[in-house]
Amino acid sequence: MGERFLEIEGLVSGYGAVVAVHGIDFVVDAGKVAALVGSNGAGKSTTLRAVSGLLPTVRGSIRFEGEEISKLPADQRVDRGIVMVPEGRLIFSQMSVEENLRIGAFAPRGRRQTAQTLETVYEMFPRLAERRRQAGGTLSGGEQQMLALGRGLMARPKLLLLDEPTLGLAPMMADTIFEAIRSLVSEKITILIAEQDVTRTLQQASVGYVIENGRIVASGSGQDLLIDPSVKAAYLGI
Amino acid sequence: MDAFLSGQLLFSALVIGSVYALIGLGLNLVYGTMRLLNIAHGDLMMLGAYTSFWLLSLVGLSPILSLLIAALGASAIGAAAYFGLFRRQIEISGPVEKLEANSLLLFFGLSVVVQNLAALAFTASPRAVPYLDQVFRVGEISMTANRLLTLGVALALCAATVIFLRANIYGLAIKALIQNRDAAKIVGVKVERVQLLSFMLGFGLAGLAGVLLSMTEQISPFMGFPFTIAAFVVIITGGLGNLTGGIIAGFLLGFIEIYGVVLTSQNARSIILYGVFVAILLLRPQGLLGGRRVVR
Ligand SMILES: Nc1ncnc2c1ncn2[C@@H]1O[C@H](COP(=O)(O)OP(=O)(O)OP(=O)(O)O)[C@@H](O)[C@H]1O
Ligand SMILES: [Mg+2]
Repeated sequence: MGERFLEIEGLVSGYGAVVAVHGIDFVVDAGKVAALVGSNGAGKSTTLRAVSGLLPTVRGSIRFEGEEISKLPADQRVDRGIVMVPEGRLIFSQMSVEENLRIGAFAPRGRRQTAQTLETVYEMFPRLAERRRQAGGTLSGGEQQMLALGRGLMARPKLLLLDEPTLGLAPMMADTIFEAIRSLVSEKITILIAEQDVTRTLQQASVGYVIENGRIVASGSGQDLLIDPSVKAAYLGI
Repeated sequence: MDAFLSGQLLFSALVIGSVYALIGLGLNLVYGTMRLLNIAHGDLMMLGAYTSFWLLSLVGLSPILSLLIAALGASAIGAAAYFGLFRRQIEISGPVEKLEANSLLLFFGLSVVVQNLAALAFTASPRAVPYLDQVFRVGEISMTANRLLTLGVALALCAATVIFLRANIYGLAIKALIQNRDAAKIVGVKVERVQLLSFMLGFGLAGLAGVLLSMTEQISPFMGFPFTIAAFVVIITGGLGNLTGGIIAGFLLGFIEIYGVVLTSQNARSIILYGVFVAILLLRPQGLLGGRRVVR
């Protein structure tokens, strides 16, 4: 087997004594969208946080472009191009929109091209350009999500970890976000996404993994999972 | 009432206020980024003051040049304290409250050691070598060059820090770390490096404030504590971690102190200081100027 873009093996992670992910395996291929689906509390965010380095890898391995990264601190993973857009956005509410974006380019890979990337992000989300001097915390929920996504892009990511990017957004806003995700894929950014809009996510995903209680219970192409009876019953409410 | 509106009092309040703003800023940087309560902050000032004192009295070096030396020295102590005592504490700390409590104990130890070493080395007797203390008048106000210099340097340092926090990527990273540690990690901020920087900046500013003070005040190994208290009053008034708020609060405290003393007596100075402290804690524990807001 050749090397995979991102390869997770036997990943165990959690919060101190609370183990939330019990040894999961999955792979993500370069330039594709991979989806993690599962009900509330299944362990999707925990998995993404472990990949980003926010949570420790208790056991197992995370290999990115053939190299073991599970022991690296979060900032060094960003240096390699793994960037997370977290659930709840975690923007800097008292810094301006532009400062939020600029700090997103802290890693050397992004910092060299701060000015160009800033332009690209403003083109992608004109609303952010209009509000560049405004404090991040004064933006609407959807605008904050754009800001979080834009901030992630400032680091020039190879792999973008998106956690619930449309949670709580009006349908119009959600459309904008999904549209942005499609354009990122066309720019060869690989995406690992956990999202409550299962149908839409699986439609875009080339591969999906179903997580339950911290374990992967099903996997397949997005299309296959969409028509899988058990997935339909559990997550699509059909 | 005449005295109250005099430029003289205004000038005095601005001078002491600028020093309070400066020491508050240093303390706030260390607290905001790491939640460490540095009760040795005033002792760093004391070391800065002695640096200036000895260099002036032994080799005649101007305190203006001592500013640079004290800043470097105090930053080096900051770096040593970070690597030696605090880096690991921050790493292994569980809840924030525990880190705050541990840091209080560690810094208390540091404070006792520094004060006593200073007393051993320099004796406990107060000393003073006034510098640039010729009086001159600007309109109604009589001032001394050293106090004018104190005001100018302290203001310039506050302004430089604020500009650094806005314009420099490491300055932005400090603000980011103050606001949200996890988010700062996610965006790739080198948290350890930024923490070291905050230590060096915070300690360095305290050392600088000490040099300024040595030009106008008596110095002794135990001079630091009241300033530690003043710095805490400032950052609590301005809102913990709120850097701009702290600068404003520094000047506010300067005014309260000077005008308070005029209304009562010189002896009431520390009562006023502690009074403000207690009043703020009782009435508005989140600070007069709101919670964790940072320089914009
Ligand atoms: N900070 C925390 N401390 C302790 N346990 C946590 C923490 N965060 C999450 N958990 C637990 O870990 C488990 C997995 O949570 P996780 O957030 O990964 O779920 P999720 O699949 O992202 O769910 P959701 O769809 O609600 O976002 C849950 O049982 C949750 O209670
Ligand atoms: Mg989640």
